[in-house]
Amino acid sequence: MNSFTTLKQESAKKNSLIDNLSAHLSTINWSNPLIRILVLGISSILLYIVISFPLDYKMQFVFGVAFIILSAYISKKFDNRFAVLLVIFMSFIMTMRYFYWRFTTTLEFESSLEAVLGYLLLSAELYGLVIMLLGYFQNAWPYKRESVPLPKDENLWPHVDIFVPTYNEPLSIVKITIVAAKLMDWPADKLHVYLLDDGNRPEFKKFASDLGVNYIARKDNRHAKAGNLNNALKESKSEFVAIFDCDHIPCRSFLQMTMGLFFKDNKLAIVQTPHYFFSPDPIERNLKVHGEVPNEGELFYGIVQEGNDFWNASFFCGSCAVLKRKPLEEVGGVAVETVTEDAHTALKISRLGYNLSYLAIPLAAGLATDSLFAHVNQRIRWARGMAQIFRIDNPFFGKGLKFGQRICYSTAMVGFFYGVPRVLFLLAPLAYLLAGLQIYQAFALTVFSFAIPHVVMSQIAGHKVQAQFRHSFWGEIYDTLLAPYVLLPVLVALINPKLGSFNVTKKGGQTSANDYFDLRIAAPIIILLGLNIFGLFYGTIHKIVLENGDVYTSLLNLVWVVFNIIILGACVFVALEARELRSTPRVQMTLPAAIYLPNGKTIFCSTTNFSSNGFGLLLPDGCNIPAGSTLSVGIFRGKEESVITAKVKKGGNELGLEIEKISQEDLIKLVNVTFSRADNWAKDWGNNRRVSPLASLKELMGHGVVSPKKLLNLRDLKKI
Amino acid sequence: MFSTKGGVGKSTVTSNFGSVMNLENRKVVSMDCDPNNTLKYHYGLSQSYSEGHALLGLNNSPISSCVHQLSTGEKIIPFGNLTEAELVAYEKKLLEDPYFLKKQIASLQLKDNEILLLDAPSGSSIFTQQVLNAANISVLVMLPDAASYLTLERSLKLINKHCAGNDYIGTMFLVNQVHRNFELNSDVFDMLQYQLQNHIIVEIHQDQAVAESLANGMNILKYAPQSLATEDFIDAAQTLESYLLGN
Repeated sequence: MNSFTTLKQESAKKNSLIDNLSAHLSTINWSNPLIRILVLGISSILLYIVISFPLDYKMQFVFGVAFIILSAYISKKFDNRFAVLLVIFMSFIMTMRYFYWRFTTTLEFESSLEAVLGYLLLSAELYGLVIMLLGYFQNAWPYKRESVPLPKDENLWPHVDIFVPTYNEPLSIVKITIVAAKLMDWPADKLHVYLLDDGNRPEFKKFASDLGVNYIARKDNRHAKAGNLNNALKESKSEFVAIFDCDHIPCRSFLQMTMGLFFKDNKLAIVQTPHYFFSPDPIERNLKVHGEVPNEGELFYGIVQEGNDFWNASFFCGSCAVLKRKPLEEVGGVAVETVTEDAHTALKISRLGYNLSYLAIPLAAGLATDSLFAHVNQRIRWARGMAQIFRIDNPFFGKGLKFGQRICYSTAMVGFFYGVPRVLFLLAPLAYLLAGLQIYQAFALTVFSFAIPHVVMSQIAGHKVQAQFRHSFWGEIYDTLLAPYVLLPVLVALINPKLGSFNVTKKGGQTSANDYFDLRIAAPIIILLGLNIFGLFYGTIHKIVLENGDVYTSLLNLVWVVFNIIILGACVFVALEARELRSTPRVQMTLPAAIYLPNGKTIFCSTTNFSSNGFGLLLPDGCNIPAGSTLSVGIFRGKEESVITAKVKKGGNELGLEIEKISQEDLIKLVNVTFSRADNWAKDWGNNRRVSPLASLKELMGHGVVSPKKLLNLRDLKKI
Repeated sequence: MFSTKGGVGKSTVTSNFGSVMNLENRKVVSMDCDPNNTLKYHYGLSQSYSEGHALLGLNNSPISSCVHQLSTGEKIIPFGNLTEAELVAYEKKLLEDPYFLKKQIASLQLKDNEILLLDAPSGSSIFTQQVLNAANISVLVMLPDAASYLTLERSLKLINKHCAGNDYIGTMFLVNQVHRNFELNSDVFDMLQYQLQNHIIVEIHQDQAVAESLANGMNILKYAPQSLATEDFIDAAQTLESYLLGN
């Protein structure tokens, strides 16, 4: 008998064992509550033993490292749902071991001050634990929803109102959105576009009437965007309402892709699609990582919303969504009680038993907030709004919600309460380094042996869940930067939800012509950074060199401080606003084009990008056109050609042109071939390069104060 | 290449199609079927070059002897210089036998992979009819102007009448000198496109470089490689090839 047959027999034996096992398992009646309780009980006991089993720091360290290696291996080697759940479970065990140890051995304080600070730190850690567990629950099983085809018979397709609310945004931005909305593939007699102008501007009214879309203005601006939408609901009547922020340009296929879902599910109230941004958010722009590191939005729309969708809790995000009018009207229109009217409206609709869905295909693209100041204001609003909902319409209570929905909605809200814990983490190591306070009573090596596996494994699990949409540690920058700002509004909103006002996020304005340093935003971060740097030096000299403290405890706190400095350093650079000359959305697109020269000759070339008021051209090698000339340019899309008169702003071989004159007809044609092209955004979605947690940390360090190259470039800064 | 209206650029289209196809390593022969005998200028032949196929045809001689090969590898068969009497006699011959040109071409014994571009004179004279009777593929050259639009119907009738044989493959419509900045030009082109929406229709943009290249005795591909017209000619020739010629 050769070895091959032996092998085969062995594997057959093994298979039969597995078959036997699964056969036995399948004979068990899992719906029997007794069996469920029995299995749950046994597992809980086993889990408790694993979590509470006492190990000395050496053994715990060995155990931790073994777990890290194993989960890193599983994470790298296997790419299926089971592997994700396994890695999450292993991380859960390590985290629970840490907290079990933390509760049982580290809370014996010597003074009441240490006790107060110690419990504060513990509660900050518990917040992190809650967020982590909620996140695992939310993201463990992202639902990959697919588009549902519409019925063949167009007569069955419903009427749709398209609402584009605007308040103070320039017409150059709103124009494109409106044109794109009108160009959507839908029977023309069933597509009703509404320009909702809270700014009550005559030129908007004229634009709307020229284009043949509806225009609604209000006498007052009560309840801002929510009020604007509710007013429009009264003046329109289609069965469905699609809402786009005035700078979210929908592509032609938007309704084709989304509306089919409503035919499949009669109780469906909302279809939300991702907010895709073709401009970098201020953090990406200032760190110059746009397209390199996935941004906050990609995490949210890439993973979080799909995770929510699994639990029927993918909420409405204010734009790029279709809502059914009936449920919307049943909850009294868009919610006005809180400043995050979108999430609140979805919550109310959920409570009535309607379904929500999320389709992860970017079908509209918009501008990210263009200055850090605006970005911070936007997040403050979100944080305040979420806290308001948590306070006045808490998803954990009240009727109508399923357990999963309660968890997901709460996660979305509690997720914004990171202000206090984050600041505590940034200050905690200083208690020991500067004041010698032992707010964490433990032998430093034991801390290492419990904390390191806990932190590392949570990073591995986070990476496994989100690699496609988030690089490890980068989220820390977003959270840290905003922490000092959301801290107070959240506390205030939790105490009195009525306080605080709504501020419109300003978009499409021009950021400064020069790099400048936004001190308004950076001040708290600089103070925190200064304290940490001081702690690093003072601690090193006082505790280590002068031997005034326990070496391991000092080292532990110094490592902590260094990590804080890396994150805070990157945050400081975020406040260095990069020069951004463009004031409108811009999309990269190569289309054939021709320049008609005044002498009757032509140059065949191609476009490089488009915005609402300009575009770029790449000329053939050797061709140059000086800045300042006015050109007639034809842009082709198959058989169609649009001719635009434009002025050369940037000359040379690669031209930057500003549109001087374009007919309405040509604008429509142009939007059709550029912004509203159906394949525009989908191809980039989720195609981020994946970076391992360690590589990501290294890249992140390159952006902090530890980057000498950046420090040298700090000259010529203008303060505002 | 034919048109019912004159001055639309048939010879330009013929010679540029020839250049593009030649660049693609196809074997191309261009044949001037216009008594004005002007195609030769597009190939850099001088006025004094008087040889051509018409006289040979008149004398019932094989025309292969007048095929002129250029340094680029392209071949041209000029019409040749005929006296008035010779022309009348030749016309008479053509009137007697509608397939005379077709037979003449057959005598060339072209291989399967050789392409013969026939440049017909304007109008619906016996010359054009002969060309259409001989052609497997016809290209109707038009301008985006009122005259081309008004004669379109007549051109279509001509095609229906003469291009009905089993070996006829199809027709391509070519609109020359399109310029979107001129309203009438642009509107007529849109109307033509609408009328011919179920047909193969290509456009060549108006471009001064086309006329200049002829004056310089060069083809446009060489004279102004970066111009839109060059791109258009390549595009049009390739459309013809991919829709009608196959491989």
